[in-house]
Amino acid sequence: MIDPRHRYRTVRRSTAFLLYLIVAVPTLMALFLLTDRTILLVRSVWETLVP
Amino acid sequence: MTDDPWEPFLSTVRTVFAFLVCAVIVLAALALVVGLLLLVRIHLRRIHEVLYLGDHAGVGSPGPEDFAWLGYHGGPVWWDLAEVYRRVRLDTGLFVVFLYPFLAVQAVVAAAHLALAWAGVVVSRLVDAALLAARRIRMVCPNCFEAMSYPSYVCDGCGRTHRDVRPGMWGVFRRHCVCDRALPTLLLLGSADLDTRCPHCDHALEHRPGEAREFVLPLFGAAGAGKTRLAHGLYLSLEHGAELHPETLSVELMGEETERRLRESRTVLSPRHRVAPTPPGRRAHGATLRVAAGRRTLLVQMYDTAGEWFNTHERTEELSYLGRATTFLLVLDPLAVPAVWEALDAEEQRRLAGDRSGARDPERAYLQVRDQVQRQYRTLGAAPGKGRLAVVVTRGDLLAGTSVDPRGTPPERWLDEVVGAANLLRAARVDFGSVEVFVTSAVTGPSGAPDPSLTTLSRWVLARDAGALGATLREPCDPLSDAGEERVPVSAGTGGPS
Ligand SMILES: Nc1nc2c(ncn2[C@@H]2O[C@H](COP(=O)(O)OP(=O)(O)OP(=O)(O)O)[C@@H](O)[C@H]2O)c(=O)[nH]1
Ligand SMILES: [Mg+2]
Ligand SMILES: [Zn+2]
Ligand SMILES: [Zn+2]
Repeated sequence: MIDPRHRYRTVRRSTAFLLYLIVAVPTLMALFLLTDRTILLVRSVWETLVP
Repeated sequence: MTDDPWEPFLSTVRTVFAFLVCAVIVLAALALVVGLLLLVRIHLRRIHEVLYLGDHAGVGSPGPEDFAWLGYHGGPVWWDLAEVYRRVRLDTGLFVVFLYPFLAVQAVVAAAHLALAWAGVVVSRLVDAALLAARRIRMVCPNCFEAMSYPSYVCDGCGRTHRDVRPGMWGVFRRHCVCDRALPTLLLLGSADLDTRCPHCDHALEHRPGEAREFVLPLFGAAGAGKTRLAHGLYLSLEHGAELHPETLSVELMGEETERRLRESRTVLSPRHRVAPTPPGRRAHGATLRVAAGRRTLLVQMYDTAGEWFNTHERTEELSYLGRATTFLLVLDPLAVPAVWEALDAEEQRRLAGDRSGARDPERAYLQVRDQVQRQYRTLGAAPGKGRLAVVVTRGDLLAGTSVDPRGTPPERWLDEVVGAANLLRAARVDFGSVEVFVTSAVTGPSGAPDPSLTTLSRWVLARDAGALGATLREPCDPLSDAGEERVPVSAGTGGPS
């Protein structure tokens, strides 16, 4: 009897890899976007308030 | 330019205020980033645990009456998703809502997997079924005579019988037995290499059903008519053809049981040999021959049932192979017919008395079988009137040289005039699409070759359902071209145009 952890191993592992990609890529993009927007926001606030 | 004394102060306040606003913005952004990273980290870690490491006991083991593990698409894919969700929720509480988009993505991936797997199931089953249909393969169990939609297969690891291995919940291209052995799910994928069983009676099937067309060939007739001897003769005529032309024709006995029964054919057909009556206690078991000519293969299932089975309606009814056949051999002993016997002179009668069987009425078995065939065709919804019947008069060798010698007379006329079977023939013409008369001698010649009349009959038998096979037999195995030189044919047998 094989280790139950190894059952469906191939299909589970490839699904896991796919999910790593699918989760990580949008997260990084979100982080990048967030940083970018924050910098823009901070700059415009600063420029409005401190001429 | 106004010199406002408050100016430096105001500018300082503005700067401080701007700094505070910016700080709040940056802090908020930072909080968002950290929160997102934390949540995603938790999600990824759970995915890693459940999917990558498989560390999750939720995948149910097969129950006592299960034979195989479910395929990943047959449930575990959802159980894994649910487990990831459960763990993430425990970790994050209400914040799990922020992970919903990611969980939704995971659900989409699971759904795509499911769609792909089930598409594989449907397509592979369709292709397999279409191939079977295109090759007109219908599988019949030679033991219980039931038609099977698919054979059962025995796991070569643990011996469990898997009833329906075809793609489905338990696997697409292969399924995993409870013992973890991987088994192919279709004939197309090589399941025939496994031990095969009948799904209805669990009898071992050794003829690799599903790989070639099956051809059900019932022999029927009164007790002692010569069915068993004729079955040996048909096999030997094919075998002889294969010996003469090994490159075009091959004949193989499929399975131990068939081999045990037909192995002795050469001895059985030696002219002095007497065949013992088939024990009437047991139902017939189809003997399977694998006949191959070039790329065309046919599994010929010969059913030789003891004559007693054709006496009563109750027993004939059990022979459900009759309804699955389209070619039938009615075997009759001419010596048993009073008209023939009385035409022999006293000396001939004395000489042949020991070869005469007891059943005086060949018509009785015919009517039983005819009724049964029609009934079974109706039940199975098969088109009636398409069957072929060969009326096979046996003992041609014994009749040769007597006052009723059939040589030189067309068999049909001989049957009509000497045997007086005009009624039988007329009835047969109404009931069957085509009727042919043969006189056979189930004996071997001095060289050991079977009598040409047997080859003539084999050729007719195979002519319709395996045109190429019939042709292979026709050309190279022509009785005149091979056996004819060795010995003078002792009987007349013409297939006529078929
Ligand atoms: N010489 C000769 N003998 C034959 C021929 N056909 C049958 N016999 C003999 O006739 C007898 C009966 O033949 P079987 O083949 O046993 O007849 P059956 O129809 O199988 O009989 P049951 O199994 O009892 O129904 C045997 O002794 C055979 O040897 C034949 O063509 N030539
Ligand atoms: Mg017999
Ligand atoms: Zn069966
Ligand atoms: Zn097994």
